[in-house]
Amino acid sequence: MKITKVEKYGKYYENLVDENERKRQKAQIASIASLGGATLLAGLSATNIINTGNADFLTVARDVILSLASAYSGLLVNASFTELTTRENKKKDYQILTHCLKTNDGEMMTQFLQTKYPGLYTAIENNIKNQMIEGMTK
Amino acid sequence: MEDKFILTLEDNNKYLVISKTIYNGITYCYIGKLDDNTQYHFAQIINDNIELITDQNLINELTPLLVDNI
Repeated sequence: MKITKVEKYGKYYENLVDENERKRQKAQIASIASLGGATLLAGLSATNIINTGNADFLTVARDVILSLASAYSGLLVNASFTELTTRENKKKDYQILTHCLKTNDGEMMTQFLQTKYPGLYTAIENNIKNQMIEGMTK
Repeated sequence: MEDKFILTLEDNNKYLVISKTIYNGITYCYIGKLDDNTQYHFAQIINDNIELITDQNLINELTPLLVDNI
């Protein structure tokens, strides 16, 4: 398939006059970035996601994000770990992740996620809040 | 987010490039369809063409690289 146009994220909004439409599209793109990032981090293939369909996808995405919330032994760490071991310039991240794994240091893992994957961290945080609210209201 | 790109394809569908990487001299990316947050694809870009990837072995190799560029 031919690519007919490439736009930077910021430029994409320049032609949108309607403020509500601008907000709507920004929210939509943020949602795609967060969910896409989460699924990628979890090592899920696009094929698997598409095959689940819309309703199931939301369940899968929620489960993925929640599993990442306990990321000490999650796929996020495994994926990053594999990559980080091969890259010298990520040595510090590797050391942080290794330390978090060894010590179950949630605070440091949180800081790592906030710094390296802020979109994902927000998604995780929001999903945890939602889960807690669901639990309280049941 | 400011460093992200949006691609428009010849069928007029738009995709957010969630992550991209260069592997063995080829540009690979992970894209999400703008008007449907259930559609995500691994793809390769050659010249001005984008092709979806379905080879699971290649996807497994690319995933850690793409993760690091989110």
